[in-house]
Amino acid sequence: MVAAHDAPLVPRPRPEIERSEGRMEPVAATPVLEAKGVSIAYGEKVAVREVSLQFLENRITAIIGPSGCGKSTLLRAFNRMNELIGDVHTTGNFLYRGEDIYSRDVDPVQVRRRIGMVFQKPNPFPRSIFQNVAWGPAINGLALKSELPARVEEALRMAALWDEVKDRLDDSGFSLSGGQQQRLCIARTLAMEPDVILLDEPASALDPVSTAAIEDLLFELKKRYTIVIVTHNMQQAARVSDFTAFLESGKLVEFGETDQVFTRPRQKRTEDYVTGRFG
Amino acid sequence: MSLLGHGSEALRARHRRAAFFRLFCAAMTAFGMVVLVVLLTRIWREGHAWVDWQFLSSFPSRKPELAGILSALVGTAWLVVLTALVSVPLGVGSAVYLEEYAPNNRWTRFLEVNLANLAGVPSIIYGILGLAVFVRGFGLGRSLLAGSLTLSLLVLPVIIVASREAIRTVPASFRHAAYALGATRRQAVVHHVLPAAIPGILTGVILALSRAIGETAPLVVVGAFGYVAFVPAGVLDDFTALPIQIYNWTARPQEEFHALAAAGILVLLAVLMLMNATAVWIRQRARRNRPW
Repeated sequence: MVAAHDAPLVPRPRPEIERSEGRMEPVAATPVLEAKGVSIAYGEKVAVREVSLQFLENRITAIIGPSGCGKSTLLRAFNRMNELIGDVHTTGNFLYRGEDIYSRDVDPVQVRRRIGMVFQKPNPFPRSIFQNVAWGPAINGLALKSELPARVEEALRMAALWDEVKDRLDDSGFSLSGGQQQRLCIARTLAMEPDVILLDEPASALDPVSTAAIEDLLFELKKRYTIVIVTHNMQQAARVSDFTAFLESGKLVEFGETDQVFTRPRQKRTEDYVTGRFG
Repeated sequence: MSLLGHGSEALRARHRRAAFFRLFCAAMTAFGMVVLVVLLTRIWREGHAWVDWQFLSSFPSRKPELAGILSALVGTAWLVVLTALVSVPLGVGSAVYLEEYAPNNRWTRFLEVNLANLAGVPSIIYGILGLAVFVRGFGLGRSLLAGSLTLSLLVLPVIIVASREAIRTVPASFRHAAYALGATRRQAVVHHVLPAAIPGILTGVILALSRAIGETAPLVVVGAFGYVAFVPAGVLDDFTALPIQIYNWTARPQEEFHALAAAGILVLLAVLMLMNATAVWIRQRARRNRPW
């Protein structure tokens, strides 16, 4: 079952880390994830209706919308987490670099290795800080036991947590503060060296300082990863994202560059929402 | 006139009824306690003088002053260990299957209802089943193995139900975190769900086993002996157990044997209390150490 080195779904060069400040030019980007006419239903209840959108490489895309609009459901569909919840019916096409995520010969375990996820509430394992980060690479055979310490350090550095925990790697993950726990969960995801990171309201349970730390981190991470973030915090979407999708009642109302969505929305509903008139 | 002073007659009547209800509940509790204390004192008075090293280290005898419960004590120890070896893998395995793998359909629900019913089946029925299947069907005879397998059937539903409870209290966030890191179901269960559930499972197992220790009826049917003057050396040997020995002694006419039975009850109670205390200790410790 555990393959030490399995070939990537699609060969791809790791993009060069760009050192320039600010947002990158959109022309260089290619879609990494794509939804084509997708609908998702829990039993009889339709949560997402006929949504189509793309997430571009090395970009942060925010999905915003009022509670219950289906944004988290849509996010979880991209790494096949919905099927763990139970009676979920998904139609339409979810593509990862052109490959159908729901195709019969696709292994959901492989999908989740390439498309990592960070949850709303920090959910470290009841293990040490080290083990929290090392577990993913270890069970997936991504690193030899001797390579794990280096990999853990790299992931914790990328998650801007290393300096705070380097002297207490054997302490429980639960000994950290909420914000640190969430960065630990991000480090755990990074240690898998995924291609895409999905974040489901990652800062909603955190204080403003921790939230700012996570947002700063996202700017760093997009140099190497494609990031999708679900948030109900519009300021956060405006601050961190390159593209914004606005969902309401399971329908995609508007999708475009973040500046445009927030300053010149094409739809009246979007304008009402981003200006705080409802939601 | 004060707004908050003594109220009307109706309010006073409500207070009286409240006080009466409290008294009623306290009395019901006291009743159970009193009965238990009376029973325990009687047994203690009758038996404690007989509990000594000679009693614990001797085989049963026709002479009360020479009789002891060594073979029963060892037999019970064998039964507990063998029953645990059989019922824990079966019970925990079933619980994991039902909680983590089984689809939520009519067949699963049917299984669940029947499991709950099985926990309520009188133990003598298990004894008859054990007699037919293990003693005669498998030809195990009146052996420790036949007795243990019968007790395993008896405690299996209890272990399954307790293990499922324990597994269910493991936060879903652990599973989601594991799956999101590319874990297979086995990896999520073995690495995260089971370790978190083990204190609860252990508590359930100990309580189930302490129930098995006190069981008499199924062992009588399966064929435990009332008089065993040796210590069993293997799983196919004849055996006796504490409740059987006690039952045997109470059935005799002489007063001295009744006192011996009381002494045997004291030993059995001590074993049970020790096991239950262990279960409570495990539960408390786990609750203290649980970070979530």
